[in-house]
Amino acid sequence: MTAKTPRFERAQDFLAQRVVVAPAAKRIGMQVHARIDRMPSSAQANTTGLRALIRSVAASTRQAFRAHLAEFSDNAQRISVELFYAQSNGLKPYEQVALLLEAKDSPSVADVAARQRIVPIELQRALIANSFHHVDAMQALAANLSTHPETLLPLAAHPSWGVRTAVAANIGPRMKVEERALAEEKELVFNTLIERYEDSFAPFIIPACKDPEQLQRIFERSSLTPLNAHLFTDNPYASNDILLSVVSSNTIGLLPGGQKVKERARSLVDNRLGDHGPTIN
Amino acid sequence: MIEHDVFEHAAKWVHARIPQEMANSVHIRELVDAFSALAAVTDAATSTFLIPDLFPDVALDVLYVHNIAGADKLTSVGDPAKNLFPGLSAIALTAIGTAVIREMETTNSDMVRHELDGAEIIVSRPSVRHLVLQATGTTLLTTK
Repeated sequence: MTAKTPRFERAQDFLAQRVVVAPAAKRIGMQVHARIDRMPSSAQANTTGLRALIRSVAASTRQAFRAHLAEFSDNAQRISVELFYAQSNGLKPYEQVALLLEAKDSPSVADVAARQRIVPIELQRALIANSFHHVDAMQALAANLSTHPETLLPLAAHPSWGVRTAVAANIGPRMKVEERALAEEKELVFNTLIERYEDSFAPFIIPACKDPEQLQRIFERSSLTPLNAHLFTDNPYASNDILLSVVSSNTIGLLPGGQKVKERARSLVDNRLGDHGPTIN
Repeated sequence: MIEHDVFEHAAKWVHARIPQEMANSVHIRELVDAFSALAAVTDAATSTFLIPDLFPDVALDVLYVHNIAGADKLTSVGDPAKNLFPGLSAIALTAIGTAVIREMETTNSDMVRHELDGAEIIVSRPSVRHLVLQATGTTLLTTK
């Protein structure tokens, strides 16, 4: 049993910290009453009674949850609630897949399934196979950090712009995280996004790109806004050609913040070329 | 198992924070037993629960947040008659609750959180129950 020192804190701060840093998985619990006997001779009985009560909580929770589900006349609503608490109830992946298939035409069921904190890979595959047309669910799946690159790959070519952008937002930052077992599959998703590059991918894809040739291809297909130009100048793998294009762009200079980006690109080129190249004015 | 020293330390911590009159009527040994008993009770937990009345005469909620990411805990059933757990006296529980309230007042806090093998035990004032439940993603069910 590993224990840490208890921490006194304010519930408001605890909530704020949880919301920002580590949102908790949705769970169900039961309220139970200890009914401590005040008689001094009852100390031993209090321990035994409380222990028995706590042991019975799991069964009572299951029973109360089943009673709660029985109140739903709408099947899709019932399944949505079951999937919402799937992790808390320890539903096995095949049970979750069965629930999804039972209501595969329901967008809300697919959405709840895709929004779980951890979506089992079996459920991810079932969602791709049966709910690809449910845009909100696919966007949630694409944004979910538990989504496997194998699942992200077909989503990178989804007809919805929002889904494709969510894939970029997911895989871009993950390219910087070492996940050896997933390296090849992540690379495949990343390369697919570069092949199908759209401006909305820029903030996620440009910072993660380490290949000068790929960066050049992205640059050629990017609209040269100050924001995009800033992303390129911040990437050390950006070629001198890219930096020089930023420096010489008249359009950027006319846009708010553009002059600063141009100056930064100019100073980077000057630094890189040093005494061995021309001075850029 | 939690080291016995931890219970001793916790018992002394409580004893130092309760009014003298209460300290005279609850012995350190009784507090050590109570902490030891509470650990045995927690050890039996396999799902999330809230107890609003664990500390007699002290208004504090106790929320046990089960570690759903971890493997299912195996708890020994045994014969209850043969399981000799330390006693959990009402006066010891009241003393623990009183000390917790005193510390909350001193530190301007309204909850205390303890992590244990991925699970969490949160003791809080009933007025912040909604915040604690929201932070832990817990929905409480009741039986009809």
